[in-house]
Amino acid sequence: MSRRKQHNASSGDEVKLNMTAMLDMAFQLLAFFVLTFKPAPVEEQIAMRMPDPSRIAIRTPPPPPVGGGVEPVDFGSQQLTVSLYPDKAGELDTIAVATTRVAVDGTQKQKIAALHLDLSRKFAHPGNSFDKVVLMVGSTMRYDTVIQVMDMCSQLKFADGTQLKKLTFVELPVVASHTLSEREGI
Amino acid sequence: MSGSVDSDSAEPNLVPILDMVFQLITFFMLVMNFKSASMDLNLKLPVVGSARPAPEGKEDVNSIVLNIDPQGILRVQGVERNVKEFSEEEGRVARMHAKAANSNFKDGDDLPVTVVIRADKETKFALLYRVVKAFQQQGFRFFNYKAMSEVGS
Repeated sequence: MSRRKQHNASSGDEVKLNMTAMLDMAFQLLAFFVLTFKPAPVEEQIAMRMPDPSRIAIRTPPPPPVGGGVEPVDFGSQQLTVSLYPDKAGELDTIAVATTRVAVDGTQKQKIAALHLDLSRKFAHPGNSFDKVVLMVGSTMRYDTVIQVMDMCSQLKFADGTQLKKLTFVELPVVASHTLSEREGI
Repeated sequence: MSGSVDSDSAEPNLVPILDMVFQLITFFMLVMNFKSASMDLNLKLPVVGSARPAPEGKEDVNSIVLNIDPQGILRVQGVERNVKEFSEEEGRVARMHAKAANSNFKDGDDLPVTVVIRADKETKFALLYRVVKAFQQQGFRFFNYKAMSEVGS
């Protein structure tokens, strides 16, 4: 009897849980997640719906004349062609909208701003019949430059307030890709 | 005076440390990003002022991520791929899935797959266009061009 009493007194009701094993597993999991953690950069995007390139009526633009001016554009088609000619470094050398040279001098930012101004005027003109813009880009143009022009074009709005939705690009023919300066012997 | 309990043992209380560890595990689980496996983080994307963030939850549902380096090499999931072969293969798979999902889908219809282009800012246009054109010819029409915003760059 006394032995039973002693046994009951020493066992007690307290139950201890051994946390060591659980903590070990938790550290294993933590180590896995820490080692596989790779912060991804926050990227943004320009979304475009690009038609089959064979369906785009490409007119190799003739050498654009010097000078500009606001004029309604109507080739009988529904596209406005913007030609981007690169310099040797792959930056913008010259820009032509249809057959009109828009910008020749200045920094790249200034040229894109001049293009934006010219296009805004053309878009705002109620007599225009185009609803899409085709960028004809020289083969050696840097992608950085192209996407800045695309970004600018995607913000253009027509006279009725609707935004430009049809924007695509194609490559300028090899001969036309040479800088205008080279072609004109400047 | 002399109790049955051993008064010399000192056991640390592991509960708070276990709690902190679980907090950390939960944090890393929540920020875990499986998308970075498809991105070539060596590429320096161009910076634009008004690129739009991808709509949450919609971007990667049905998309192909193409990484193009300055030499024009195409990499998908870290593996270099031939442009023509890869575009044909993806076109074939996309058409098969589109037909399975929609019985009215015909060859020549636009594929409901978005092509995500991640190209280095120094990449020449001709190299980029070669890739884009190959996918356009397979029927892909939706393209997303990735860039960094001016704020995030």
